[in-house]
Amino acid sequence: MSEGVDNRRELLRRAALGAGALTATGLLGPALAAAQSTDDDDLRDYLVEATGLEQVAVLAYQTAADAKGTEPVLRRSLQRFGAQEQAHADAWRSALDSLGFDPPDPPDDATDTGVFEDVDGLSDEAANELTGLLDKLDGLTKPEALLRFLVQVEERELRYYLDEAPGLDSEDLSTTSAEVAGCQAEHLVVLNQALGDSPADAVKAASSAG
Amino acid sequence: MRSLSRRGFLGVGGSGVAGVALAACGTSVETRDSGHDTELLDAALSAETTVQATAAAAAQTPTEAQAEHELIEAIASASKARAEKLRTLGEGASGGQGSSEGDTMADLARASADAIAAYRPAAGQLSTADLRTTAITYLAQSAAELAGMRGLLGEDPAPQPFVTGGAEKPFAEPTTTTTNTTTTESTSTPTGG
Repeated sequence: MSEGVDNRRELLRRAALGAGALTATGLLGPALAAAQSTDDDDLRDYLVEATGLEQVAVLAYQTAADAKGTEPVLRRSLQRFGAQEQAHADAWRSALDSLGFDPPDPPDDATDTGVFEDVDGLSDEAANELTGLLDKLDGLTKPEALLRFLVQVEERELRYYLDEAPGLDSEDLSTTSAEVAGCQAEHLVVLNQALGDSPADAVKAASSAG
Repeated sequence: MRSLSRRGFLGVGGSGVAGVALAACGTSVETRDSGHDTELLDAALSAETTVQATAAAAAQTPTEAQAEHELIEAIASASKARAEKLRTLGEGASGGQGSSEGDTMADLARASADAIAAYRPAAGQLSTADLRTTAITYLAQSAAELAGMRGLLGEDPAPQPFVTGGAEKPFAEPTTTTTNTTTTESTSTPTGG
């Protein structure tokens, strides 16, 4: 591939990441779609699964915050963490959109497992895992059970970023993924403490989760 | 592997249409090669040894709060292990001379944020996937430790969706969006998160 084409493709990837600041990302679609390649497909695959995981987390945080019996202070934290997960998902969705790929729809609720069926870039294994997470969330009502589910989801997200982000063919995607992984680790500390861990034990658990 | 300067990236991020035009003009790029490894690892090691030294000093400070003492001890141990690993990776690096930045948990929290800021560019720019894995893992561990300290200090443990550790803005700047499940209003105001 020529230097000029390489430069252009990397710039397009960066445009995709920065597109979170745009209000009309659709403007980028046609030009970016023309630049799709096998490497772009690799980025799409990464972003699609990341988006799916973040959207499951958004739904889980919303469910936990709304659960009867959740303490008010914890509820506010859960609402804010859900908003942060949505910010991650928005960044990945904007990147996908700007690269000319379709992001997966967010699930309306835990029974909305169809959103992960036949999604371009989402492997059967990943789709099954995401669907399984929704199945597991469906029916959870008690705050402690929901907190434990959130720990499971956050640990899965953290492992995903630690395993997959370093190999990406994009400096900025790797860097942004590191920023997101840091946020997931912070969430885990709070969740583990809410489940009764001491601060030191909560930090150790979060640090070893990846 | 290609790379733009941060200013160039933000220019693209701020205006996608302009970014496409720039691409067509062949804007200069950097290479993601091993040329910066020593510098990045040196910065990470220097920041980590400062965490280690500050944690050691804080551990000597009398406190009646058992939870605080346990957390500082845990951070001291983890930081020592990270510094030892970084020394094996950064042959030729001159880091490792970090000194204590104080002897309180607040001092340690600042040192931890500085370490996150050092790991952040390393996570994207180091030349091999193995090195980048180490950087992103250590960033996440440092973020967990900072969250634990913030909680004990009465601060927000997770103030930002994108953890940068310093004044640097995240690459992906969140915007206000509405979805079918959540209305999100996030900010990219840097707070050392």
